[in-house]
Amino acid sequence: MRASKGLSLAAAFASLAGSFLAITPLVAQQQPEKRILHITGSHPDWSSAGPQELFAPYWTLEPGWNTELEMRNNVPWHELRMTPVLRMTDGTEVQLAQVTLKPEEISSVNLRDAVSAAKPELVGKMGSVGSVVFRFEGTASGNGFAAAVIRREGHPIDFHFDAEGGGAVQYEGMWWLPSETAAAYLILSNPTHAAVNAQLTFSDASGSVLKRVTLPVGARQSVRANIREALGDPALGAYGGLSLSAMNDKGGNVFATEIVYDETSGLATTLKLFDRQMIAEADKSENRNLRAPMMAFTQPDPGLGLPDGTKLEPRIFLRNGSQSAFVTVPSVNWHNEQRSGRTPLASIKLQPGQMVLLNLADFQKRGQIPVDVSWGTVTLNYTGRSGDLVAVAMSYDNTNHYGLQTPFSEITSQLFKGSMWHADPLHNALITMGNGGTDPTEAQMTLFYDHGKGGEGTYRVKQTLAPGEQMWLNVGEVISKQIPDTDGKTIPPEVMFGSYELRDLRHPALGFLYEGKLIVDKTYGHASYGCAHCCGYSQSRMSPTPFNGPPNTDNTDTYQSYNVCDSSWEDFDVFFSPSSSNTSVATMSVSTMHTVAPGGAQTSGKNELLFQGNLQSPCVKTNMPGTQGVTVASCGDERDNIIREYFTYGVNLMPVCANFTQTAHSVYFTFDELNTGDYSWALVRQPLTVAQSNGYGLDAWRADYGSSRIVNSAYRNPAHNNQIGGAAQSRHMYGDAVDLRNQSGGQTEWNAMVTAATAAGADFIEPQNGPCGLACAHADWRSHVGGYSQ
Amino acid sequence: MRISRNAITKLGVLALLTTSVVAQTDARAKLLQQFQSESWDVRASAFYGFLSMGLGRKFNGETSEMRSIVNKSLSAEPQESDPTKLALIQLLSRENTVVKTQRAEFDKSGKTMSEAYVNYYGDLIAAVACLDDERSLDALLGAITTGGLATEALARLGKRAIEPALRELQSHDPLVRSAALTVLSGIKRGSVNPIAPADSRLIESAVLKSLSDPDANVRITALRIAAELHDPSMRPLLEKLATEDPFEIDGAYPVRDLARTELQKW
Repeated sequence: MRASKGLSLAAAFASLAGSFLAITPLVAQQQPEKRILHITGSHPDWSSAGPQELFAPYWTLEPGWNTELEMRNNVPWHELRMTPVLRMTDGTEVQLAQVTLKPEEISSVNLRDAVSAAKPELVGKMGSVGSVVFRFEGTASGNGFAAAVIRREGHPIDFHFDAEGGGAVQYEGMWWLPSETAAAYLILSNPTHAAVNAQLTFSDASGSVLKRVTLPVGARQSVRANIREALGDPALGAYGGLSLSAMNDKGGNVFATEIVYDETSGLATTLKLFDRQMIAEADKSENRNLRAPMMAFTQPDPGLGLPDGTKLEPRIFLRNGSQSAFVTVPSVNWHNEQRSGRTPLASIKLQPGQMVLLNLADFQKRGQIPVDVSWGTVTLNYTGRSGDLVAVAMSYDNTNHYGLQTPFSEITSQLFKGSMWHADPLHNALITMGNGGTDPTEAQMTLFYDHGKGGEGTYRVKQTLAPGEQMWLNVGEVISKQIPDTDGKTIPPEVMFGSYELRDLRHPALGFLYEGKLIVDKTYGHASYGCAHCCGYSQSRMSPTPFNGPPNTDNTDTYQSYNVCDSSWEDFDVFFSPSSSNTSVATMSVSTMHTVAPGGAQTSGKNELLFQGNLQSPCVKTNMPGTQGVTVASCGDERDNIIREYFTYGVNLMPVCANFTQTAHSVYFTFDELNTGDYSWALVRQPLTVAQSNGYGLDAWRADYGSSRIVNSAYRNPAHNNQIGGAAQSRHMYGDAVDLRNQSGGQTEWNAMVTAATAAGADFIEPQNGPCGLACAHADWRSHVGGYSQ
Repeated sequence: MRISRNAITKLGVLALLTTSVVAQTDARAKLLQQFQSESWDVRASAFYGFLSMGLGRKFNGETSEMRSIVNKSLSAEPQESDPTKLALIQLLSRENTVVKTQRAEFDKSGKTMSEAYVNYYGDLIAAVACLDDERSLDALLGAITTGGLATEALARLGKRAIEPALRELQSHDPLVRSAALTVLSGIKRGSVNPIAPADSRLIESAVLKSLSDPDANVRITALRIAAELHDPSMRPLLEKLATEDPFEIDGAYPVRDLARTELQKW
């Protein structure tokens, strides 16, 4: 779309606090409320880091075109080093310079500049197209976000391609040729090492097949197909359906994307193809909602800077991509600065393959949607599989000269990592998030900035959102007007770009937020849409795993899932469907794993979470089982009781039978002196028994002191430790600490004992105002290697 | 937007939930921020949280692997490694102050610190000790009487620690003087950072002088080091200690006994 230059955006939206007014709660289209899980702890874990890849389907440096690569680090605590690699259509690769990204940092690379340095012959050459691989070391592909934004220079034409972890083998979409001068391309890129044959079926608006085409796409290769040529120059304004199948048994898949643009009018639109989920649970027939959160209505928002008098035509193409008829129920949540509301539209029955064009301007003309509203969220409710309903929304004027798009998506999440926002003299960003759930939620939008300047700026806005309610942020206005955030902070005026994230704080495990972002380019007066990256969980487990313990132990298990963006194991407050593979060994209740008898078992629990594997980036709600390997072994004596106490009293150490002793002693100290617990067994680490000739340890301490000493406290079993008020993680339960009595209670003797402990290599000696006071001296050898004495 | 009373009540609950969510948003920065807390248990929790970053689980007392754990935690953001090290060092300095401040109360009322606190203090010393960072010098000096973790770390700093350790020999606290001798001895022995002959002589001179320290425990430490140095110039003094040292406890003369033992091995 195009607009006159330099128009102020200041009045575009309500202030950041001014989310548009409450919208009537939705009923029919809402998802049933899920059990709300809460996160009670988080454990960053980089141990599984390995090579990761994200794929963007298209780049081009053909004459008149340029590409910008955006790379973001989603991990809030770990640096990421990302290397963009261009793949030519034949699969050959050109590696570009590595980019180091601090947590939450986003960076962009001008491809023309980068390629001029790496391979200048590609610049401005026909055929300089292909896909992009973003390579980095991480724990999941979700650690990173990347996108390729291609631009037709000198024209209000650009396209935003998000990079994902993998493609799909089945898509449903549409084609459209709005004018004689419009170009339409289907781009297929194969990120895998297996060649695929893409079977394309073009149909007309009634679903009748027009043409079938097979496009081979070699491993790592790309194909750009001209749809006008493929269809033999169809009628002006024609549209129809497109199905793609690349089913194969070699693991190959493709990214499919379709672009339409017209250099004459300035039209630029992406016809999103809806992939069939490869995860069975995500592909079942169920009640679904597709949402387009930034639908522009007939009266354009002044913030878009369109010429006075411009009237947009908000239209939605709908297609039934399935083999059976179904009904979709559309509704519109509309709003402007003054008011808001919800308009349910008449149900639409779609026959197999049928396409319908819904013109929302008609509803405005009839008064069902006010004529003066500028924005709305369109929701399409239907029951079916993913990809059954193809929906493409766009708002252009009658010349296709001015307009913008908002894509439909069914993703809701508790966490989105957003791409780049701009707020400079030539650009602005509008970011929105809405509550797609059935109860109010607390939504938080955070802008990150200034990573490259030694700072880590954050700007956080929190707001309660009623069901269906949206919150909007005009980033340019926030900066220019120095509007403070929830914490009273403002973004320095010189800041011009950054990244962002959206969080559902009330549903931190399975959130209901949906999102959208528009970048307004004031140079050409057009706006382009950019999606945020949904953050899900890649795997679950019960903690601790593996569990090793004696029979008749009750352990409070924790269900943990690995958040692929945060690279952390998150603890959940509850889990469901507890089960055990062998209840004669271990049983499982909703909170406790109970060991019964020696043997092995696998216990598990489940929670419904957003699954995000490496193959497909979109989050899908899945029942994720967390498992725990359980080995129950009985020591056959009171050691079982002691080990149980470690679980009961929450000691981080998990000893096994073989660690305990009934006899270990040193030259100067008997076992009974080293064991000050309640049992005849104890943990005694080697520094307490090693010969003084080694120069360290308890006997060296005693020898260096020069006369006999009384042990006040050495090994304590957890119950005993608890009884005497010991610390929860006291070294006395680890078997490497001893308190020797200061028999005189005087300073001289205490000093002599500490001097001797230092000479005996004690790693840590408690200060005099420690728990012993002057009554004893505590020394431990916590940092010495060495196992348990027997 | 109008918020109902019910909604406000829910917001009260929400504040608790938000804490954990925000904590994971920028975990490292939050932990470092918590290092500044007035509450020691918040600081301790943040410290163990930092260790968990390298472990991917709770720290379970494996202090012997502290170097590897700390390095893993620091490697998360190499660019932030330096400020994180500094934050750990500053945390230890703060805890040193806490311990010293509380000591005054102990002297007055006999009130002791909790075992949980001193256990954390010990683990923190272990973490800072393995940084091998010159900036930790003052913090480690503040914990010099707490045993080998601190004294060995100071010794590994080599030449940089000589002057400060020599200064500690002027301390009024004999335990500090004794520990400083241990550090100097470690520096002289050091294989990681060998020192120049002139520095070595400085240390020998300090040991020699400490053989005449007014405190018996300092003399004992100096005596052990002198024996290890096997310097003929020190022998006459050892012989003098073996016969004339005045320190007596329960009828025994530990310094004389130790000097005699060491001379027998000479």
